[in-house]
Amino acid sequence: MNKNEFISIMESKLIRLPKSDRDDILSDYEAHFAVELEKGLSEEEVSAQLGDPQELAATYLENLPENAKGAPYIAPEEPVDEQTQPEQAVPEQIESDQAQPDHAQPADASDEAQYDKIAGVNDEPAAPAKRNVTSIVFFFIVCTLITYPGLYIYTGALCGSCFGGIGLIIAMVGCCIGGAFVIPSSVAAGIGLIFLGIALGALGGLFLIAFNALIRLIPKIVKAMIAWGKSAFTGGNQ
Amino acid sequence: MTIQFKKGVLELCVLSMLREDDQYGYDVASKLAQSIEVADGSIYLVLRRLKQDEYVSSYLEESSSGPPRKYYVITRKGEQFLDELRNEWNSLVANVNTLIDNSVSA
Repeated sequence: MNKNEFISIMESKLIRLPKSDRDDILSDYEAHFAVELEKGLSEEEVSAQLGDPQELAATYLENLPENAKGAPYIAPEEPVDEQTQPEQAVPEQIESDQAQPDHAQPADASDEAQYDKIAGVNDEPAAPAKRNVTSIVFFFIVCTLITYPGLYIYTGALCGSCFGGIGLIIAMVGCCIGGAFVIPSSVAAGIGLIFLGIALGALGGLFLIAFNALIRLIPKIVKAMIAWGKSAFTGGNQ
Repeated sequence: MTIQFKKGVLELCVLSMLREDDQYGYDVASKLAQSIEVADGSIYLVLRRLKQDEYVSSYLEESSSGPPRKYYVITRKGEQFLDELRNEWNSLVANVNTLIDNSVSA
């Protein structure tokens, strides 16, 4: 058994633990692999040394309450997404994972009704599909209503902060040079001009800092939009 | 019985090792697995349980190679627990030895 097999068996067996706990447990084993592999052992040797991943995972679950043993972990503290109505919220909270235990998700219609009942969904046997459509529509509405005007505002802020910053810095240089020329005839006016220049320059610096921050935001925003679009299309739990 | 017994013994060993020095999880696992017949993997569970019961705490330290290493430290509560475990262990061993010796000589 190689490292990936070992880790993924444990991961799928530990699916009903909170993700943070699961990651914490798995990190111990990943660290163990890292050290042993560096020592020159093969992944297969390390797996054998660690023991059977199924049994190991089972020992981590020993103290869990019986009723939690079949189902994946339902995170109580996860905030409910704004676009889901309260009575549909519970199925969304089930953590997504391809490696769910085969008995976790009821497939046929009667089981699904039972599942909905447990989850608190009333009179809506087709809730998952419906929610999927709703979230896709919602996604596009937000895209058109908020993202496009948002894009113009964002571009405006980007250009404004950039050119504003450059302009103010040029103004600073101008004021300082001007001040230097004025000093021989009027010291007070010259120094005043130079101070004004420095103040303008500082303002320009702030503009450029804002510009820099805005630029750095771009990849984050794009990533978040893509992730959200993805979850809207897949319904979040497939 | 055997699982509980083994679990208690492992806790005793891990805490004893940690009383001497802070140790990296991997070191605890590999050293213990060398002296006791136990899968390396099960030591991480022991460490985790001890941490949940606040007998040990852990901290991360950057390593020159690979991911940061998780070091374990015994707590005051852990030291008290270790004393209890050690007493239990000593009396168990003494009683068992007496029993064995008596039955051998009888």
